[in-house]
Amino acid sequence: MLSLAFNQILLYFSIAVTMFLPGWFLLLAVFGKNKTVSALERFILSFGLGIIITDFIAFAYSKLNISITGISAIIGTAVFCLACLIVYKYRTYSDYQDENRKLFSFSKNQFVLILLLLFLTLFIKTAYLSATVAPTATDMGHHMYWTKLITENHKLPDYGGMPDFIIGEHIALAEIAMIAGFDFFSAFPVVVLLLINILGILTVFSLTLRIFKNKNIAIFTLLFLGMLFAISSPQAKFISGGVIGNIMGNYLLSLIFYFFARAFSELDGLKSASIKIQRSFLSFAVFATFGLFYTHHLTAFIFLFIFAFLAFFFLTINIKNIINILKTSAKIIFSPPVIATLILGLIFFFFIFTPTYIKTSAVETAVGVPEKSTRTGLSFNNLKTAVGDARITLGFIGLLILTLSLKKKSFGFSLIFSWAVMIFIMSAMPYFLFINLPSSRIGNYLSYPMAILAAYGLHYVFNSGINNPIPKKLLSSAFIIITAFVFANGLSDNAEAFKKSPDFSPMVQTFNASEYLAEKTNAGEIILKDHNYITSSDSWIKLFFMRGYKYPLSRGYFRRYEDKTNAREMCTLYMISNPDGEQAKVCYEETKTDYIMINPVYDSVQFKKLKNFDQVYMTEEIAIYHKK
Amino acid sequence: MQQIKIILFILILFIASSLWLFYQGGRQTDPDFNKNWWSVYFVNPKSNDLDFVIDNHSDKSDFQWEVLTGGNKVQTGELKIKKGESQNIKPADIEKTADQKITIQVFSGDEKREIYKNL
Repeated sequence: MLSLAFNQILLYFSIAVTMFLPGWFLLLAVFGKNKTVSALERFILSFGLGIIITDFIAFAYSKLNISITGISAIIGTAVFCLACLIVYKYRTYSDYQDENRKLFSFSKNQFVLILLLLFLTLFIKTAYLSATVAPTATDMGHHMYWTKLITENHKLPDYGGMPDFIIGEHIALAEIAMIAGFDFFSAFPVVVLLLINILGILTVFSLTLRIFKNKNIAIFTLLFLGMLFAISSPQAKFISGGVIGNIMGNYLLSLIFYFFARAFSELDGLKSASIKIQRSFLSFAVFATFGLFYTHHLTAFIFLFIFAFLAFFFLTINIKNIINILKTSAKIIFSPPVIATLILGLIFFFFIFTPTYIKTSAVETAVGVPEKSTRTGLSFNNLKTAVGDARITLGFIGLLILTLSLKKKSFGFSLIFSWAVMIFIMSAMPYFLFINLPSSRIGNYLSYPMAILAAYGLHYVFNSGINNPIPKKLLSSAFIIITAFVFANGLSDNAEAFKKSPDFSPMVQTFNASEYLAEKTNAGEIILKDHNYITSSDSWIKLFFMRGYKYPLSRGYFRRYEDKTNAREMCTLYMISNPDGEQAKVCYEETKTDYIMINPVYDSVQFKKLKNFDQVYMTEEIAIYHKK
Repeated sequence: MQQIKIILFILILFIASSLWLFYQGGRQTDPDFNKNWWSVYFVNPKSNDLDFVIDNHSDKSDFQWEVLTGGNKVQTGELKIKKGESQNIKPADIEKTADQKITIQVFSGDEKREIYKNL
């Protein structure tokens, strides 16, 4: 119990160092104690900015050949925070008073409701994660390999041209592991992702509050994005599944939109104090955009489309005022802090550390005419499944009302509109934009803007304060029915959180067999394992060896060997499925495979009759053969 | 003050979640807690040495082992191993000949595990 408590203290300390403090001190240096960013916002934004700063410090270390260790991470953060503190001490700050500073003062009922929603959100997610926190998820296993590699080599990893792994997904986690000394098989990756997920939801809450300037809509957003559908993708299921890029991407995307919304919230009659603040927000938006590009390519790709559409849409609906808008925007954009951030980001991006996917053909493969059925767009039913019936229905009502309200022509309204519409087009009609990516992966992003729109729709329809033509009694009855539908639909998915915990015996057997092989073999010996029937945690096996991302070799899903559109090597199939065959013999000769790790229930028969294989290890789930 | 209370509330919730998840994670990866499995393996998989280990993480504690050469039982033994413990077993010297298959079979209740070496 004492070690658990000590581990927790180390966890909070390492999270503070790698995620919170750099961001908090940067905000202090830029805004001082100006209330233009409320205390709650400072808290929420600090983590996102902190993660990006930690990435940039690691890039600088890499360029300067400084080892990335727990101590150097702490020193890097300390130096950065000290520099920010010096700026804060010697800089004079404007006493600009944000007109909306009272946005974050809630009534007693609102305050209690916020606390209740936060509690239920975390409670449901934690209940679900408590049965899935064990290291079994395939994606998490792959990501933890790269993260562990940083902790062992003390430098940024070479991803060998694999575009699906991006450095920003691994630096903060690696530094947390190094500072706290965590085992990668502990709960720490899940706990950190849970924190990032919650911060993403809170960022959307703040963004909604800033755009609509209505506390009830923001609270409803917390309901639709936090408590309801708390398990389904891209929420707790992505946390336990280790879909790190999406979890971080959704947080950073919301963060970028928050900064853009604040940078361009007022474009008329800017005062000099206000323009300074808006330039700062735009600088943060640019900085966070670089952070996103260093973290997740799909989210960054989606961001580019949303941003392009937003610029086009906002200028189109404001066509009569376009000259004024462009003039004012130019004053914000072409300013020293924004240009400096942009140049610094570009220098890092192209000269200090370039993400793997820029060097490979990842961008080309994402663009083109979609051919596979999984890339030609989601049906409405697919979208309903991805977003949730209640959320998508109310979301479309909200979108309709928002469209009718666009006469306000505000940047914030345009942002929410563009966010929802562009993701809808990208996921449902990708052929219009020549997007050649799995549509379901894009569809998962729709739940964020749809949650905001659902909140807006629900509030707008049932707000009796508005001149509502519907009779009050009818309105009250409809509200009760719709609320019941929303809760029944949104919570039905959450029922999964309270299912019985699965049996983890297969997982510990996989780990035990891996430990055995790691101890008995050396780096020159080749191991082949099966992915079809070793069903638990097989992507984590490589963490026991740390002899390369593709070590041990793996017999993949059978269907992959039959995919005529993507021919692949066949040795991993032959060597397990028919080890005595002529093709397998050639493969054994070529690959020098020494050990085979399989599930004895399915694959032991073909080895048992062979004299050149010894069965050296056996549990119920795993058998290991040594080739003589 | 209200915002500080919200921040503190978030932190308390996060700490509680983290404590619970670490506690659960520790139990789930514990090879013994709520688990029921056992393994048999050769101490040295590469040589002709027949020393083997029974590693028990099951609720059973009685184990019987047999050494077979070419299908004939040549040695047997019984032992008790508590949950969470393992035992190294050194079979007595067996006359080894070329092309011989030596099998170790271990039984516990109605379960059987087998490892072998082809000499």
